[in-house]
Amino acid sequence: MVLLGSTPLCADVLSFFNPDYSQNKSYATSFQTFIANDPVSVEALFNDWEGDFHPKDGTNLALESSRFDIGAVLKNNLYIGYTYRHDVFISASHDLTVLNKLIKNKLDLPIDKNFDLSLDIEGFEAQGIVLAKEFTFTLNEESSLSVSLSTSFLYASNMQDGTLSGVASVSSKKDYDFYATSKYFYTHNYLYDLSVDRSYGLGFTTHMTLAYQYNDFSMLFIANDIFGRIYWDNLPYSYVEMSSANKYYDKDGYVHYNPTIWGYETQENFVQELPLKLHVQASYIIVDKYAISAGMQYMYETSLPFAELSYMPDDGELYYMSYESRFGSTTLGMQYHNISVSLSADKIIAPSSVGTQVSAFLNF
Amino acid sequence: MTKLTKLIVIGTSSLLLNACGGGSASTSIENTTGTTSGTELTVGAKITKAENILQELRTQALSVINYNDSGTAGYLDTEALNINTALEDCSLNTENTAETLATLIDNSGSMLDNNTSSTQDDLGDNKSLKIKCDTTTRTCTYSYTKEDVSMYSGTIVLPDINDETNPGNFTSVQGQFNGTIPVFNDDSTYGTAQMFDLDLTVTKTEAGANIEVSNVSLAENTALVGISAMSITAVYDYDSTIDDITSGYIKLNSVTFNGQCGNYSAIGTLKTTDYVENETLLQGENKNLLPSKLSFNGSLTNTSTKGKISGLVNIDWKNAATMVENGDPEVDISVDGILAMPERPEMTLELTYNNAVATEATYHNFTASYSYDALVIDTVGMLDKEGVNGHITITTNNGVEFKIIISGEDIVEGNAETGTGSIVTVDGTIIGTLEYRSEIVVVKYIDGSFESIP
Repeated sequence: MVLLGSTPLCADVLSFFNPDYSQNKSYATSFQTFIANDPVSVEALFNDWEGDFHPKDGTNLALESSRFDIGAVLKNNLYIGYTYRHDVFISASHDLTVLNKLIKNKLDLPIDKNFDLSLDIEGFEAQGIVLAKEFTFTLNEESSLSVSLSTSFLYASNMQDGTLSGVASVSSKKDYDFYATSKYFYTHNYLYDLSVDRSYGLGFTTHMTLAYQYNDFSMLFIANDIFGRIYWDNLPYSYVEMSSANKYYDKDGYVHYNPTIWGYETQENFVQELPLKLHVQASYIIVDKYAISAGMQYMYETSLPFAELSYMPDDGELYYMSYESRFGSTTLGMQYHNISVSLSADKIIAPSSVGTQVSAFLNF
Repeated sequence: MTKLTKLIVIGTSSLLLNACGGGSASTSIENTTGTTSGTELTVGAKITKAENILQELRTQALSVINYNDSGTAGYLDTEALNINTALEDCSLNTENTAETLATLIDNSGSMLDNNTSSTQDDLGDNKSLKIKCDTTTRTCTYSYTKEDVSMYSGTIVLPDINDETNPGNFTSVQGQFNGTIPVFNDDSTYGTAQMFDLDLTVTKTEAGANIEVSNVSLAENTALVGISAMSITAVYDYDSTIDDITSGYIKLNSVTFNGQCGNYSAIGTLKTTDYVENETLLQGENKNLLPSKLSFNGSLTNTSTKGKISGLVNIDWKNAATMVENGDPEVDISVDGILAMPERPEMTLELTYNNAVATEATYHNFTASYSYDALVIDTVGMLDKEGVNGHITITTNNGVEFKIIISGEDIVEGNAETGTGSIVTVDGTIIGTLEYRSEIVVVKYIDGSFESIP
């Protein structure tokens, strides 16, 4: 049970609720965060998109997945705790990332090119109570199975759920026209500055964990937000059409816009479906103290395959290195008795993905 | 362009509105809302009316300036591009003109002064310049020839005046130039012909002289620039003891110009009706005289499409006498203009801008009236001296009113419930507010729909 029962998640990419790592009669806490995007570095993503540009051919992603948990494992593997979650997922067309890069850096535009502009954003920020119960079954002397079921009651304070679609047509190296439509639920409008009445949502979600071990082979399956819903009252909604009719040029002759916009803004009740998150991992102790793992995480129709090598020099001691291929991030982690720590990044200088995970438990 | 400038532009002239091709996407409101009588419009209908006005302005403005969604240029954009092309195709070689005219006038003047009746200068490559002068009529004729064939010719009448002429004792002198002159494209061949005409009359007055210039024209290919009339008053102090002018100044009274380039013709008259002295600004130049009242009446016509822009502009520079360097000019301006676009109703525009306001002396006020077809839009505005605080009210003849309050260059966003800030009313009913969406000013209607103004 070394790999499953006492270690945090090993891919260290998406944040998961996994009550399996704590022991009975203990306080447990964990913090996980991961941010990544395809086309530019994390720093450039929030600035001017300078530096290396490496968009994917198809859909380009940007995601942030974070959660903080603190709670207690009571007797009989019953967990009760507080959770804070913050997830954002953005997918954009290749064309949109390219156009954004060119415009932000005032680079020459490809004449007569028509850019497909499409973007989806989903996300939420919530906190709440988590209840979980783990059931352990010893199948025989060589194998065992544990099942954890949990449910969360959430109080959400922020959300994003919107789409943008349109087209941009380049007329010269420094000039283009565009038309786009946006359908957008939000608590903060990132399309344009707009003060709106504060909106809150109440919801729930469910998680499940299956851990199976057979001699030196083990498997872990985690499903978070199997059926997650947040019910928002009077949530701001904007339907916006925008066009490039109102253009002006800077001193370099590059076009800029105060876009012409029209549409309607309203407030509606809205049910936000939380996206299903999956973690599947198979591990095998290949030689004494060394194990290999392979698996995949999944969210928003996006798969994040990973592989891992672990070294366990002693009981309560674990060192591991994993590689996730979607964003190319490498994780270095360790567990020393009750504490585990890991760091993830795809590279040292100007990384496009970074993450960290810290968890600990204390018996009482 | 600042946000405030944009708003003023919008308020004073929809001609300058940045157009958009999109319409408003309003959600309809039930017709039961707001109906108080059989004749009064429902709130939904009132919103539609306001939307239609904004959309109409955009559509009209779109035909004038800026681009719509399809990238089609507006009328002025198209005209500006076409004028650019026309100017490139019909540029005048004025550098060569000046050089040739100077040669002809200098040579003719010297011949008249020296009683020489004819000269012939060999220009090489079998080219020559022949000039014949009649000292009695002070008339000279010239001819540029190539292989003894006259290529360009004309007549020059020079006044009986020269550097030695006593400016205090002549009464009137005339000068005239009429003919064709060559454009030398290179050293060996004659190029395109230019036609040049000029009539000049200088009449002695008690204080100096009146200078009348007329029939000035320079033409080359399809290009033509000319001055049909120009009046200049020269005033000078003549000291007979030293037989010289001790001080003087000139005042441009009026000039009427005309031009032709490709399919475009322009004509206009600039008049200066008043001058004032300002020693601080001019420091002795032209006897410290500054024009303080000017008017310009002119038009630009596309002879192919019959499109035309015409107008009368009056400018009254209130503080021309007292303004210091880098000071703020206080100028009252009025504009009466007409824009006639092909296959579109003629648009009229009347603008006034005044500095002094009786009740708020530190504010400037302006009015604008814009109309086409049956739509009449009147704008009254008042802004402080810095142009960052004030208010603008735009009303239409069908009951729509935009009340815009400006503070610190920004529009004060409206509140539909209290009626404060910048609001939109139809027949007195508040149906929307002006608000910002980032830097974009929008009208937000009470049914939830919105649309940006520019």
